[in-house]
Amino acid sequence: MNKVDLRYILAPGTQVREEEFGLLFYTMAGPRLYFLSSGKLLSSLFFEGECTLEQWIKQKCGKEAVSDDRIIEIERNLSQLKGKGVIIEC
Amino acid sequence: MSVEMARRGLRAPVNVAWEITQRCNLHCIHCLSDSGVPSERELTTHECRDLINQLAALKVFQINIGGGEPFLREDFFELLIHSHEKGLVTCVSTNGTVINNRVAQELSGLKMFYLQVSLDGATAAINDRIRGKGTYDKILNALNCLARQGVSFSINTVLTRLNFPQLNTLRALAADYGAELRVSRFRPSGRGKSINKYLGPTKEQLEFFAEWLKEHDLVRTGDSFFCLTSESRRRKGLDMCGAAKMTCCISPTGDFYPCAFLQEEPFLAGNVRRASLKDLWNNSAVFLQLRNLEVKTCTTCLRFEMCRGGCPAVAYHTYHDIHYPDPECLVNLRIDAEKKGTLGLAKYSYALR
Repeated sequence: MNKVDLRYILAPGTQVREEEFGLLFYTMAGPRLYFLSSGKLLSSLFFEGECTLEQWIKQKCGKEAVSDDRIIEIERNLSQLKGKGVIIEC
Repeated sequence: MSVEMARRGLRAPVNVAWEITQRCNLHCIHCLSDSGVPSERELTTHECRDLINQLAALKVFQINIGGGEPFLREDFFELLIHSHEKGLVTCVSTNGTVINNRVAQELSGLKMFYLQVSLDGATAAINDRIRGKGTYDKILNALNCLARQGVSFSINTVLTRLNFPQLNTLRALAADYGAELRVSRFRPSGRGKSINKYLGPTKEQLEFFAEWLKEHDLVRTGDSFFCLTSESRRRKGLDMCGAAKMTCCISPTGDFYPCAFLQEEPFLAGNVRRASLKDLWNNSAVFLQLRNLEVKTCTTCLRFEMCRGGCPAVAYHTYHDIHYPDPECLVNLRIDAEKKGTLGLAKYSYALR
């Protein structure tokens, strides 16, 4: 599976909200904070797991408005959040 | 990166310290809020519920509820449950003296809930000098009730000159209950002001404590000791003061401050009865001042990235000016120790029990 085909939901005990820089995650484990520098590209609704990053960006901003490098960078950051147990694949 | 993001200020607090009542059945000599008798015109149940609704609407993640003793409010469980229903995680600080089997059983059913029980000594002789005669036994009884009901909790100890030698015993006591030890910083606010010289840890103790923390990875310090934090603990908490950037404080009567330790007239931003939380957070001059605070003398320090000037509340209570550096930061402690010729910690190794 291509990495950008992944869908994510929040892990149990995780909350997320939008900030100017992107998304701010809070996990009850710790508790701890995690920052995702995604600007306005993502919202908390992305973590309902209904679409992939590519689909989300296409729907919300039109894919041509976002460079492939930027999408790959965000996907990499999402993968790191997954590694830390903040979000999970669905 | 995350520090920079936080420094710019967030749209809402990450967590809010809420002193939900001034009423307390104890008279701890270091109490930051000078608690005892309830304040006149404390927020009513209805006002508290409205405040919780506002916090939830702002997407605040966590409320740290203290006092006074929160469990003395008759509506406390109602407010806890309302917070959880609104998606807010709660962390309650209690003196433990009103926790019995029935209360522990009620707590055992709560999710999204942390509990901190205050204990300021590993023996009655030390704890009771700080928290009052007979409190050690009552606190241990609370811990036993909680443990029996399977309620997880942490033990919170304010580091003082008196209990410093008991750090290892306190850690072991917490471990016996499967609990974490959380060590908080003594700050000279509230009743702590008048007792600072007697109770505040010595500089040598603080210097030793910084080394001790390196060896005790599981001991938590919240946001208390970033001024002493070693590189190895940096990822365990904030590397800077979170006041007005990530957190704030609401008093029992609804007064709004950047920090529980800065509940002084110059730092009063307003009152939640007369202004919305959102407006107070975004627009009050006091909050903007704290967000832009730069302790100029610290900016060239090698540890600047690790503490950013330290705790403004300690600077304020020491120098009456938040622009001064934290007098108890690791660098200032070592400069002081070098001057005194007491640099070096071996002499303290025997003193810890």
